[in-house]
Amino acid sequence: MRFEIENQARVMRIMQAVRIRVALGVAAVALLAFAPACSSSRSSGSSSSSSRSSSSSSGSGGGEAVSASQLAFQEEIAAIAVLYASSNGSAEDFQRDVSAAAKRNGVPYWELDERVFTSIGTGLQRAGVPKEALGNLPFLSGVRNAEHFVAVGNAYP
Amino acid sequence: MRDSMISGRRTTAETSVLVAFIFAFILAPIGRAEHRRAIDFLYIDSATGHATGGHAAIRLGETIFHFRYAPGGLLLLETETWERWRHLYNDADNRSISLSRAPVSDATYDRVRAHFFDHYVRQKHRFRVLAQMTEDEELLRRFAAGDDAIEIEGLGFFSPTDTNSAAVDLKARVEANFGDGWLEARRRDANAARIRESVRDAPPGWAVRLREQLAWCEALKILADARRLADDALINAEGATSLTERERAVAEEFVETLVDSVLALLASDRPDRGTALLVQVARIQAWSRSLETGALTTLDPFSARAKVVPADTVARRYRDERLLVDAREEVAAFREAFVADGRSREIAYARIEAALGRLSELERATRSGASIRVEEGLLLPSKPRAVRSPPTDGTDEIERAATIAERNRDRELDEAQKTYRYHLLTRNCVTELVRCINESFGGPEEALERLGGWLEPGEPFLYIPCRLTPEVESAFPASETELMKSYRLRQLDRLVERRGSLTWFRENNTLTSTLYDASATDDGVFLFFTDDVILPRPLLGAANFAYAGVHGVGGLLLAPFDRARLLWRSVRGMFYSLPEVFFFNIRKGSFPLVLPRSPEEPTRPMRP
Repeated sequence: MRFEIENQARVMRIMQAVRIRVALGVAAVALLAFAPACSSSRSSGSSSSSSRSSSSSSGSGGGEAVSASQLAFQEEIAAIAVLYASSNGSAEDFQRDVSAAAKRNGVPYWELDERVFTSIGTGLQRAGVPKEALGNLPFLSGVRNAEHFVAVGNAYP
Repeated sequence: MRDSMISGRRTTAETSVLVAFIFAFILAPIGRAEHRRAIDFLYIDSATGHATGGHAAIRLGETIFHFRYAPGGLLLLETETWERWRHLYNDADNRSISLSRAPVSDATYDRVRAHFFDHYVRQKHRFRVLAQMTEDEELLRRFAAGDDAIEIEGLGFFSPTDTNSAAVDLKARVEANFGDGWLEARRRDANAARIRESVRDAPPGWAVRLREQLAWCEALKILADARRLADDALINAEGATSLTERERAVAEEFVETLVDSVLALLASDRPDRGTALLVQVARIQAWSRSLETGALTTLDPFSARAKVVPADTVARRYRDERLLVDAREEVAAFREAFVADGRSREIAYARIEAALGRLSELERATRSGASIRVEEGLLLPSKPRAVRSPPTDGTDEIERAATIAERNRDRELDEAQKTYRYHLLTRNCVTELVRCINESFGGPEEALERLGGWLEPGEPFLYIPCRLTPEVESAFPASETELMKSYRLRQLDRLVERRGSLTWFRENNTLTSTLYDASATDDGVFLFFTDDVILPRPLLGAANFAYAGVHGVGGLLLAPFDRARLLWRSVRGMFYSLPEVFFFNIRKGSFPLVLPRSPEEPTRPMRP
């Protein structure tokens, strides 16, 4: 009799352990199944190393990072031109978007850079705007400098 | 004759074969060059925090595009340079990355890249408009409460009262270009009161226009009054060496470019010209100081958003000679780029400002252990100062305008949330990545023809990040996959190779590991690493659970003294031990202080 009671208690203890493990298992599976993904990485604790493409052991990493920023900025400018070609936004908003892109890419000043205007042309060409229509785009009314306007057209073949 | 003809024909045939061979050899590399570019699909292993389900991204050249979960339940496209992104995820976060490279033609590559930029810019535009509306509402509420202050970026660099010779010289250059009294006349014309009066209509973007106009007024005032830089405008660093002769020559040329930009901004009708003008004028004065003293001095690049790290964390994390060496190298690299690249000198100079700012903070940390400022990403100087807005009568009108602005903002926010909402199964980092690639083409047929494969977002199970690699391998037969091991596993391989297998036992726990430093992280408490073992994982997970539990008891006692830091870390430690008991590993341990280019380990060579 005593043996049976001890046996029963042992079985109950085992069952309880199994139940706990099952509950923990369900919790773990739920954790994974409904786990949030797509989050950002924790930021690096290093206060340096935030802007340089530091793949090289020499100082040329600085030049690579600068070129990468310049390229990304130009591609963003082209994309802004595509956006405005379809939305027909104002010249002021267009310039605000260009300034915001410049800020994102660490470009302090863009107004005298001919590449900005060539990139605008690249975007407009991609958006299907004919070269002859460039003068009629309201958002380009802020481009007053004749050389800059020529640069926009130069992106066309 | 016939023989000769036959022989001649044979010769022609042989020549044809030979020519064909030569062409094949010459053209083959060209054909291969057509496929030199690739779309790299990246699956990033899970980690603790908000990354337990893993993550996905694509790499196009040196640019990473990834959809990231953002506050407010949004999923937004972000871009990053490959090297920085790899450093954050693969090194600092210590997560392994599976890279599947699907070769595509140059035209296809350009098309996909352009489409991602189109998507990115559209989204940025949307949120810029939303930010404008938010600013409308916030400013009007403050006006209604009697607070008329508006922060003007760039104005904080200038002394409100003092002048100096550099500022006087610049004013003379402006007047020589535009004529005497021109600045004063423009200053009289610039009138922010008109915009302030339009408050009753509260047109969207009103606050931004008011701020821009005030910045323009202040910039004209700074120039006309020849104001010098404020005492706290500049930073320098002991680790930055004196200007070289070449740097001086380039700097003198660069100052002329800056002066040209000031003159162009004064003639421009660009809406944000005021702030741009303030920063360019401040830069001219910073260079003037550098050329005068021979020591490189730049504007303080940190924005008001910079995080201030308290002294105790500084002592724990930032008083490290390796960080200083890296920061000095960073300054030197951008100084070299500044001198070398005439076409992108503006960008190189902005990088010098940022790098020198970071170096200066680290030097202070090493010297005194005081609190320091930390700010991620590219920095552009923007030191703000508040000015009073012109007065307007009628609080009721302002209240009414604020209500309209709030309504506008809410409507725009609702639209943005509908467009960019995150959904666990239907709109996450994988589904949107695949969708964005597919949208680059006219339809599935064209995509199939150009990419050589087709992925359907969400199917089969293509909403789970870890399904990305097998699905890419199956859809793009030409793809190749490689595993980029996490930082710890790479270092462990190196140690085992150098010192033998027993090293593994030393490194598999947080107590004796020489690679992992728990005190430098905010990781949950744990004892054993389980990311490189499978069979013993449940046992080690149980040990981790118990270990974190014991620390939890200690954490409870220490809670009043350490702001419950240990207690919270212990709870997280226990939580992330549970999956290990069931063979799942999420926790890897993080390495927030690892440098992008560790001296012991050259950064993984990048593929062409």
